[in-house]
Amino acid sequence: MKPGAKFEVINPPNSLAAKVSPHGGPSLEAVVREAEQALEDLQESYQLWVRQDLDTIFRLAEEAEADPGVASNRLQEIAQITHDIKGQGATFEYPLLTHLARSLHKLLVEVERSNDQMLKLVRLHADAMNVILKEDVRGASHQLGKHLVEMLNKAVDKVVGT
Amino acid sequence: MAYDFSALKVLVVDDNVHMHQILRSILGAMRITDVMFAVDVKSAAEEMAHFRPDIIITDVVVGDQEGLDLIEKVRKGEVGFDPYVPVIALTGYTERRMITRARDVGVHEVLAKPVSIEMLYQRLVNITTKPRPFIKSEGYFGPCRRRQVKAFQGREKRGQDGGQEGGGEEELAIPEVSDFEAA
Repeated sequence: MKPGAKFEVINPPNSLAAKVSPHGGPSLEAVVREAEQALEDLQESYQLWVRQDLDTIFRLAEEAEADPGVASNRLQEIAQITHDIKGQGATFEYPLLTHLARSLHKLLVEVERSNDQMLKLVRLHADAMNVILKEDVRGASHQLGKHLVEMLNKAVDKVVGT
Repeated sequence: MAYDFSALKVLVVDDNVHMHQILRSILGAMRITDVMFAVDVKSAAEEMAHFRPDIIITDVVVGDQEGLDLIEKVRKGEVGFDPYVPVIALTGYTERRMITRARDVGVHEVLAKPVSIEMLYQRLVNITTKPRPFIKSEGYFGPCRRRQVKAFQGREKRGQDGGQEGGGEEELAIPEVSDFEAA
């Protein structure tokens, strides 16, 4: 920087300009169509991933319940899993999974100490996510699914005190 | 426009391997096939040196470490080969603190998870066709943060979850800052 200057503006070489042409690639519409098809092809795998994640959540919740000494650690692991479900559900047309995972994640990060009520809510969220998968509830307009999300949101709000 | 991104090399840093598959699918549809994946910050740092990506897409949190710490090191020249390398940060966290931190370590773009195909495409277009100058000041080194971000009108059916995330571009847009205005 020059003496006395508060900042310096640098124009780095734009090496990407030579690599990206505005022509010759697929249109945005084609990209979206093809990506959606590719994600559709992953759909079955996704359902399996989430089922495995839910099995893990149930196991971790059991361990947390059985041994208060490991509860905090187990709940952190559950929070990580729900964070991932939150970030992927809607990509696979399961926005209600994202909503449920968001609700559970909020519970896990905002309540500092585990308690029976919290563990019960963990199970209820995992059960609700199981229902969404089992009934193959895609989109956000399913009445029962919406109701489950609303009820669990309210329960979490009550526990975290918002 | 029908942008040809096929020559780009992209490094994806995310500890969730399912996310790798999702991004592989989306980037593949954009004809970006030269993609390297890293599940932790250490391997990402190694890949940066060897693979020399044109663009980095990183989660803000990778395992128990902040992916943003890695970007901070890149900008300082402590990791990788190019302190100017464009970075897109992905986040499932919508807290202001995380978005502000992403901005302050010098990422180019922030995208909410679930990832929207159209928004990722648009971000790549921005990065490659409208490069921003870098600002070097006492407390910051990274792309100029003064920028008008307009909501992108998407048409895809995925990546939206009813308006709370995924469609939350305005919430996640890197805020304009005036810290360089006075100079």
